[in-house]
Amino acid sequence: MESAGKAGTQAHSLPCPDVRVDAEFLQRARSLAARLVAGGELREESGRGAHLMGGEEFVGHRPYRAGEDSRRLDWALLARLGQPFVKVTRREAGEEWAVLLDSSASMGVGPPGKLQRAAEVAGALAVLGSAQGAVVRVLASSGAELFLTRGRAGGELLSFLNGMRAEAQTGMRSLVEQARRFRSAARVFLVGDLLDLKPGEALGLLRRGRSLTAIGLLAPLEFAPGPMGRVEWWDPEGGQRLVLDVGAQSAQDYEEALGKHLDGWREAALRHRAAFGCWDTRVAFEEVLRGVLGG
Amino acid sequence: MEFAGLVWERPSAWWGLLVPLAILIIARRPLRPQLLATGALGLWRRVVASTEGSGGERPQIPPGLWWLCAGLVVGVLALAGPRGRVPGAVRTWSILVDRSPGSYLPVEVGGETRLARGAALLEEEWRGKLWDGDRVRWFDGAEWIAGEKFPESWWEEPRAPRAAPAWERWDAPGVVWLCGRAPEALRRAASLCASGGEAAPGPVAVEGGDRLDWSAAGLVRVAGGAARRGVRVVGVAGVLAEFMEVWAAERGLHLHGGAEEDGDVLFVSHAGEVVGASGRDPGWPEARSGWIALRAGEGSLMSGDSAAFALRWSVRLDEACLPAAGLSPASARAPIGKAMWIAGEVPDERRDGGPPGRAWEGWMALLSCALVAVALLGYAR
Repeated sequence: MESAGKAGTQAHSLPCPDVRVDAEFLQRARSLAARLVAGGELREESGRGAHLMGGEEFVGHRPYRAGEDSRRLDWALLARLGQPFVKVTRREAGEEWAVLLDSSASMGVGPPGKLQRAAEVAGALAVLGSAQGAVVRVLASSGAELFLTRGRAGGELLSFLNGMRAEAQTGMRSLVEQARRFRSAARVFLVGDLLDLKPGEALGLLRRGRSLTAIGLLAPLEFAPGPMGRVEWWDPEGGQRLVLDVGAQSAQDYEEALGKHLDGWREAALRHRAAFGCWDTRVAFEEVLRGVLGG
Repeated sequence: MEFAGLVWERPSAWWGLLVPLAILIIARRPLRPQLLATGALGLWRRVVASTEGSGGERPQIPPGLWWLCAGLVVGVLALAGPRGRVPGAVRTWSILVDRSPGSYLPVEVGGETRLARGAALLEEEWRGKLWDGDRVRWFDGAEWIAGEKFPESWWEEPRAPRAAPAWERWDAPGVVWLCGRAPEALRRAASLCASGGEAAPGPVAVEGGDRLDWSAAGLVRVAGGAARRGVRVVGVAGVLAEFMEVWAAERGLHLHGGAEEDGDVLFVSHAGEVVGASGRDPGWPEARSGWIALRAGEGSLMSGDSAAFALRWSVRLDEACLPAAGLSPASARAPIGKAMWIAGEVPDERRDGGPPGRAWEGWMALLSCALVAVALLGYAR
């Protein structure tokens, strides 16, 4: 019933290994970022002393940009100079965001493909961070890395995301194990299926002044498979296989096992004041980000 | 065909039951698995572990498919033409029996006759098809005998050789052909019961005092091997008596006027003089069967043409002589294959004037439609 695959002889094509994002995506991401920031939809950060809207330490002023939250206006300066300025905190001035993107082979499962949706979420986070004035590092488990300075989330980001391919043999766990690569990050986002990672391993990244957000994305056949008949499951990374008849009972058992897995994440995240959510890849990236970042 | 208390007009329709059976087997058969990539193999392993490695569930047959198959089964049964039996309905069976000399040869060396073996096979295969009250009649091509049991008198080979019945004239429901070798006649409705048999070496002809024996190696002439053959002559005198002496000497026969002998091949007497002939086969016809009954004045030289007289009487006497006892043609002595029973159609009591049983096919067809409708409408996706 179960067998281990042999590399090379059991090469099967993944249904959705590639990422396709374009200027329209960028537009949607910017629009989302603007709505989240301007509309005050971002919730209070649950990390240890972190705050998405800005840190505590005042470091200076910058001109007010249309659409910004009026609560951030320095009213005294406005009265004195007659021009709107907002207070700039240390976090906003020099904050680093790390977006860890799982690009392992199993992220090619779909449709809709997990890597496609994960790349969209990661890209939108980069746009949001950039809009917030943060330095954003996007680290893929394949080893690829993108470093975006403030306000630079454009063509370079699209090019980086379109170069992603679900083929790495290592997943989110390998990125978590390389925590030194983003040790100065104040905000860490994990974007992937989170199936190869225990909550404790991810939450080990938390430290004072850092927030952690874990975003799980599962393909429909992983999220709620339902009765499917006789299936040979194939793990694209290990090549292992498992043949079984997926009837109503098996599908229910699977969903219970998945529910336990997700409950473990939810409880651990709650305990450590981290954010966590898991979505079907049919859900648009905007909804995912509103769900995990919104109030 | 009779089964489950019903008469089935078209039992070959039962093959149609394979269709719903195949549907159910295919629906239940584990399908070739579809290969799907997943990142959640660990979760599936837990599922398998929780079901104690049962490998998951076999595909369940949807209820709609059960209804559909039930409809198909009833439909097939309706096609087979079920009909009830009316108590007391009478049918007639006609058993045609081959009593030609070959039927009295042994089925194997030292074994029972082909006729006895065939009759035993008939009992085994056919007897169970009889209903109480069925009429049975036996026919050997010349004589009809009514009765459930094989006619006792037919166990003995008739002295005058019988030809096999004209099979093709008796190919109808309720007819059984009982023979040694399956006839070449085309059979459609009649049942066939053939004994088969191995080679039966033995005499096939006599020529004067010699006998010709057949075996697998060929024909062998046995000089002086012919059995003594006699012609019993009673009350015949004059020119005919003189001519018969010459004729008999030429044929190797001996004339006598005493009691009937085993080797007699001809009995010549005046009509009404049947002394000593009463013990013969009652079905022994008058002409060409070993008996010439002379009418008054017959046998005298009326015209004075002695050559014509001799020629006419020579032909008549030759034709009337029986073959020597124990002869069978070589074709009958050759191996005739294995025993065979092929069930034909049973007699129809309606053809025999009986009342027809109740036909169920209409109701079953209606039920079949209802079941299929339930399958299609009640369980449509």
